[in-house]
Amino acid sequence: MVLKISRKVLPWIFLAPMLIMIVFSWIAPVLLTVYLGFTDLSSKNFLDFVRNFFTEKVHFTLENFDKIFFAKDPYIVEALTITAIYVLSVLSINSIFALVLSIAIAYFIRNEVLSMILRVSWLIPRIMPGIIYALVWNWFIDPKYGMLNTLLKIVGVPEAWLPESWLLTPPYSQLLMIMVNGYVGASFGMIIYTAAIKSIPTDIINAALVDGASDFQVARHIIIPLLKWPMLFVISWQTLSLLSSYEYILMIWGSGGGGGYAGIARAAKVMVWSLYSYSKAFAAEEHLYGYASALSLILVITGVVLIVLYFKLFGFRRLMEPSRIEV
Amino acid sequence: MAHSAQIKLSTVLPVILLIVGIIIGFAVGFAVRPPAPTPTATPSPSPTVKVIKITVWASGSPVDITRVDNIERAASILNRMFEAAGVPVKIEVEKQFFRGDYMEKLTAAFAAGEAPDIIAMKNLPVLADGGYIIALDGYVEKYKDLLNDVYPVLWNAVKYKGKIWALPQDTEARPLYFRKDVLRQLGWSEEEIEALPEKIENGEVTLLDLIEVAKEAMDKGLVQWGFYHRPNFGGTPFVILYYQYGGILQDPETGKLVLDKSAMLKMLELLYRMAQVDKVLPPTMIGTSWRQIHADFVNGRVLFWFGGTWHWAEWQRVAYHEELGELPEEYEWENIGFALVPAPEPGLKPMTLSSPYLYYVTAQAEEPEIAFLLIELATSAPIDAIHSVDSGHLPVRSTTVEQPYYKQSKFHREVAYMLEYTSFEPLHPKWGAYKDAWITAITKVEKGEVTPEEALDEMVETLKAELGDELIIRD
Repeated sequence: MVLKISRKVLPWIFLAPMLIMIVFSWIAPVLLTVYLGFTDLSSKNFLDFVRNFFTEKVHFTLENFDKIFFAKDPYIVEALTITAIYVLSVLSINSIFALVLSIAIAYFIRNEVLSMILRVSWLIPRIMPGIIYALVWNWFIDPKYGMLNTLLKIVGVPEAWLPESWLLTPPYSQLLMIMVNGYVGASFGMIIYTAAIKSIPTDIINAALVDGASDFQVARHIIIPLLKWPMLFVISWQTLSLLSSYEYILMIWGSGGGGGYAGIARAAKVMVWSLYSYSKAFAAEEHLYGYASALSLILVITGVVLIVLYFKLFGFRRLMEPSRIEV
Repeated sequence: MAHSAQIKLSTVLPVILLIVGIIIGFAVGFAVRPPAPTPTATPSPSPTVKVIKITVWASGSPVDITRVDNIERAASILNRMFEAAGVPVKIEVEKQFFRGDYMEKLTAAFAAGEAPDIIAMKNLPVLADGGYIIALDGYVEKYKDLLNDVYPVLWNAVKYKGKIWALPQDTEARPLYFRKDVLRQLGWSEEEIEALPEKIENGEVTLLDLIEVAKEAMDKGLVQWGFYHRPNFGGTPFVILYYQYGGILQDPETGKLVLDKSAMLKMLELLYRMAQVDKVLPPTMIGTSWRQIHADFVNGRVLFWFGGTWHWAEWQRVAYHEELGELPEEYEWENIGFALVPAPEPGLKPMTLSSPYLYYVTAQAEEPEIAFLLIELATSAPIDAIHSVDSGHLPVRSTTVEQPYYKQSKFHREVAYMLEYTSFEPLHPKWGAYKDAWITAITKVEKGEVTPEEALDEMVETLKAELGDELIIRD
């Protein structure tokens, strides 16, 4: 039996499995987050809620947003500030530093074996299980037994500049938060950029070199302009990922176990917005699902706004147009 | 130009259906996956016997596995009774033991209608307010003859909003451990060392005295630090010190949380003094790894440790000592002593803290009375003794101390008196928010980042915003 399928229908058939996944794993949770953000759902009325989605015991309320927007929650301003520092700093490492690293590895280092070894070395934290990565950092930063302070002293950092505790002393604790996430995150951008650089036809680069361009000029005027599309992708992806990521902070600052990490993270000034949301939903004894959803909703909206902004900045339409030159 | 593709349906359709099926299968399977039970070795009874399946969930450190095993022991007793009486009923226990908090799994199980029948955890107010558990007053009244040996003070830990919601599963004391070998090196005689717990109990020795001893030991290079406390909240010694300075945490009439500013300030000032003035406590104690804390104490690098009774058992089972590994109990008796948390200063009282673990019958239990009988039997003296001794906790029944298995434990005999000095944390759904604000203040004060007064002001503002009407502030 032979079936004629329209070309308009065929892509949807192939896309169907992915679309189903997106509906279940992204759209449904977002809709649920929007709904819950306007409720007072907590462990108190959770059982009524799961029995009846529209139970009267779960109340519609604007109180969650009132607490957020009018800073009635004492941690909101601090969480916002810390999140801004965290996202901007780690994003710089993950996109700008990763770009510099990729150009160095993929263009300046001509030895393919050495280039590969460097790429793999940056990938190690990414292939390492997250909990091991966090544990290694915990050992590394230990002021007594760890290597970090020792290494810093060897390179000439005065002992007086070193913190008693990398975990608890701001801004060192914030620096640690940025390093931990930046080191593992840089590898993602590096892989994308390196692949893109390797796909640039050598003819273009050789032509520029023949014309007398220096390596720096090649990087500045040929490689970077051709990486706009991967840069947009990396920055967008990493922004969304950073806005919602807190797992390494939770693993490192909560490694003592026994709960109470929320108070410690606040004292260390590493309580990012997503971790705050998580702590309200799952660490607080009341399990404030409604308030945590409202906090998460702010993250979703922030992420969407930033993506639109990136598209404008990078000229998304122009990027989507067919290439004017044969590359 | 052709606008359609010719594809064999018999080729494409099964592939698409397979992919979609696998994805949906995974999603559905994941969503409805029941908790993996640990089936007991009980053989299947004959078809004429009614089988009642009871599921129990609990958590704790590895030595606390008796929290689920004891339900199985209780079921075994009950089954033998049924058999003797010719009752065609057999109880089978499915048990699951977690290392950490399992509240998320519990809510998911409730949502799926597959909640266990019995749970062991703390969190009473949340469980009661949320309808996860049932009040046990009726059963307690019906079977009160079997409950009259529960320590009276422990009933306070299971009462909430005028009802009894649980039976105490275990309790503990939070002693101050000290290194006898270091005191010997300081020139203390054996008699002086052995008399220290009693002097602390009588109020002759206070925390201020021990701070001086710690300073001396540090000055002589015998230890690296005088004191260690927990790396997170956990109640010890913060709640104890606050109570010792006269603070209360819960208003007995309204049930609201209380912040006594005077007591809180004194507690913060004491910690500030220990960490920043006398420098006998690491200023970065909060956040230190548990392994380092235990290793430093059992290896004699710290003189005093605000620990828990269960640590005595933990040191025997976890290899913290750099040469000996797991500590033989003889080593502990030779080198480690324990006492109540001393009065912070003369005129105040020594104290300890208990945070009882509780057995609950859930709202989804199909046979709540059977479940109640199981928890009642599981906490009865002979079985209570097994859990107490094996896990280093203290018993919940006064008659447990007469059990042969309990009697052979010297440690339990010697710490039993501490229950007379015990206190409890409040039972309130917003206690978690209170603890978070408190540990933030402690962390900042010990580091010297803020003064005790500034930390208290910050804490007051935070608690006002977080607790609202549920907070009473007293000067």
